[in-house]
Amino acid sequence: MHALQLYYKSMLLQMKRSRQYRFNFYMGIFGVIILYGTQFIALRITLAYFGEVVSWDMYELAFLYGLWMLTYGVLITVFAGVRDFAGFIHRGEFDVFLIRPHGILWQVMCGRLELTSWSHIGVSTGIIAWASMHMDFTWSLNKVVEFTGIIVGGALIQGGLLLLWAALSFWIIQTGNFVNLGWTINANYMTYPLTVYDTGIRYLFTLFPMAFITYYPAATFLGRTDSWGYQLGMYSPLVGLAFFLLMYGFWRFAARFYQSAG
Amino acid sequence: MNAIEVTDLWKVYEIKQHRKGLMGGLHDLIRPHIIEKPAVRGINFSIQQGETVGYIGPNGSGKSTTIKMLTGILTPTRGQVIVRGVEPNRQRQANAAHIGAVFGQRTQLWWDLAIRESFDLFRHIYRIPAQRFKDNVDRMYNLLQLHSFDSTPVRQLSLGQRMRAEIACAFFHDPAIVYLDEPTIGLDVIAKEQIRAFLRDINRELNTTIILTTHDMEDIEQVCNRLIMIDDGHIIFDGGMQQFMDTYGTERMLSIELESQVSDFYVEGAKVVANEGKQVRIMFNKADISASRLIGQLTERYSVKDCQLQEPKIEHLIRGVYESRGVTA
Amino acid sequence: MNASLPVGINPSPKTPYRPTQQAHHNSPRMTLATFAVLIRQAFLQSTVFRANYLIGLLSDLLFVYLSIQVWTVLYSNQILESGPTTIQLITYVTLARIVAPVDMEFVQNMQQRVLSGEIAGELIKPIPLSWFLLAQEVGRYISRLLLRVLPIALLVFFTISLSVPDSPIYILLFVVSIILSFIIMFSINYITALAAFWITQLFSINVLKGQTVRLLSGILVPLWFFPAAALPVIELLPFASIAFVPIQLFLEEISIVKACYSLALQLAWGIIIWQIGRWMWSRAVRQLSINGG
Repeated sequence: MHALQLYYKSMLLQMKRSRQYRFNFYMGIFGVIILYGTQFIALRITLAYFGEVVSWDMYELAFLYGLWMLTYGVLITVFAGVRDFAGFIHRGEFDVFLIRPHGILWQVMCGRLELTSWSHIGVSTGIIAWASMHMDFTWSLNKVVEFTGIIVGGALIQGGLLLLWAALSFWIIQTGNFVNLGWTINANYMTYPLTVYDTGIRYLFTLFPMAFITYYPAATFLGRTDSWGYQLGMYSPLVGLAFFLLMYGFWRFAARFYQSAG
Repeated sequence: MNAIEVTDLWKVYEIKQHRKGLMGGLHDLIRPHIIEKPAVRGINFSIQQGETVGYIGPNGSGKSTTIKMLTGILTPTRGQVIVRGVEPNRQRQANAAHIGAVFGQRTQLWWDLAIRESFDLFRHIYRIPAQRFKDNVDRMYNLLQLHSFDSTPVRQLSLGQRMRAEIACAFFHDPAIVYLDEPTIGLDVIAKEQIRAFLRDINRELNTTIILTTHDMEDIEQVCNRLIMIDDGHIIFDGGMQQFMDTYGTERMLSIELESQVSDFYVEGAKVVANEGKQVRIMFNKADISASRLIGQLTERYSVKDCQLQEPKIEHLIRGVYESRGVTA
Repeated sequence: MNASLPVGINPSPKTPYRPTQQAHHNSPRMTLATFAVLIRQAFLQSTVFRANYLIGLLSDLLFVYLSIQVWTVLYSNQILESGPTTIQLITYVTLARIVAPVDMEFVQNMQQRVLSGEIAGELIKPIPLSWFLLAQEVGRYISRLLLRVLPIALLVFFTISLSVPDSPIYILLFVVSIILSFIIMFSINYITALAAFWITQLFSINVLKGQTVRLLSGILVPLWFFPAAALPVIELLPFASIAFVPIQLFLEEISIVKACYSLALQLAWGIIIWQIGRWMWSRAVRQLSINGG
């Protein structure tokens, strides 16, 4: 089918193109490693001093952290165009999407390939593997299926968040602070178990489902039956799908608004 | 069925005015100050398949707004646009499959790829069957002479080469209508000629409707058989090129060189514009008096050494029309 | 026939052309008045109410709130005898998030300007680029202090509590320290921005800068909780002066003697990094005039 061929071809061509920018590619990977590396060091320092965080130990926290990184990496493999969406709007390239006979989101997704997503995936898989070696469960078939569900659900939520941001960039020119908001929440604060925070915050990140990327599914997966709300973990794929569809609807609405406002 | 049917088309923009100062900023948040700015005011026209239309107007006249509504980018505020029986902004993808677009100021090609590779991507974007694609590509290569640079990355092409490639892309999927926005901007004379010739040829061969927006009036003269002029949201002229010339282009300039200077130079039915040394310039309306009658009169009365008749340039005429409406470009 | 060459042009093709000493004679000067005007302009520009500003303010508020929770929960189990009180920890966490200007706008702009070649225009401007950018960032920082730090600090003060210094000496030391930390941070950002002359994508360098600073200045994790062995080394680095030192002064946690020592260290680092920035600028200009951008 032509649409798939189009996707495949445009990815190939972008890979070819990025070979010309090899240095940037390595720099990109370097940046990713630094970003995660420092967060991880901060976590280790904290744990070296405090021992554990609301009774979650180092390995469980590493697992939490790895979950976030992995869902992001998986998502960004196909959704890098959405991440860079603000650029399309501000450079006036969005209009071209409107005169092509394809769905707009599809064109956006074809528009950008993020090769460094493999570094996200690689590092996070490493962290999760390391953490799971020190924990008390085995990777049975059930567990693998459950894990896949968690990753898919988490990736969908991350996707929804990116769509939300993309939608907002139709209206807001400077989206810098919003990007910073989303990133910092996820990178700095969602890597601690939700139980660190008070009830208000817990409900906030349950309804705006960031906690469903890492905390709830990890609590269920790791069998932390003592953790607040751990039963919600099994719903994370559903929550992910619902949130994604909701944000997609919002994004379509924003695009229609753009078409009437110009 | 008309290719394009525009009925009572309106587009009114709502612009937010920013108030000044800190308090103004707060006020903006609570109750934003919005003013209405009509860009297109109830225009009407219809275009048949195969016409070549020049759509012109100064900046801010509603020209780009109209094109955006025709292509489905913008939603009309009121009125109707029907392109080949379909409303472009309601059935976006269906409309997109049959139109092509060329933007002079923006490229649709992939910057680092050879144009050959860009062409291949277009094949998949427009779902063109392999054989038809090959035929069209071959035709474009011949008409636009793309052979010499088809493996060069786009960023290394000259502007003229890039524009030829862009225009080629717009036609691969046999669109019924092609919109060209400033396709010859920044090009040298030869490149412009090539592109104008191509548009004439392709229109003749395939009966493609061509909508051309440009500030270069030569483009219009060479390519279009119809002219639509828009100003401040209204259509002020819609008709054939000949009709335009007959309406606005009836004035001619006659430059003559006399044997010796005549200080009280006079001629009936015409106006002396300049009289310096032995050169005299006379302006006349061809509806009032024909060129030959005038020359005859002059040679009878004065000793004329040489004379030259100047046809008005479309560019000047168009500018004249806008200026008389109080528009400065 | 040999036309005579202009003065300073080396006729021999083997040795490269070196600008004579005279070229530095007319180096541009920035007056205090110009500086003040630029500060004022940047300040006014940043006070425009925009969605971006609001989001920034609300997100800072959220971050502070979350940080306070995380650290008080962590700390509640292990209050250190020689360490900070809970209130002091809260104060630290609040200020650390919002006071230090780690990321500065001009870094991104610089990348665009280098890529587009626009930066060449800076070579003929009468005001040196570094001072120009500094003035702008000062304006933005003042706006940030007034419109972000102050509201949030007041909010925390009235809802939870803050440890506020009462000794005027400490207040003075704190202000001086903040100024020095701003200059250090600006210089670091300046060097990062200049990397745009050699590297096309500043993203990774910027991340490196931001994360290193945040980690080693005690923003991600207060330096009290770092392994004791590493502390002496970290305190020598310029990063500690960006957040940890000023906030320590705010909390009146260091002796005056140690404070003066730390401030002197801050000053030294400020001068060093500023000089590095100047050196890099001259290299960048060289690069620009040889390669043409």
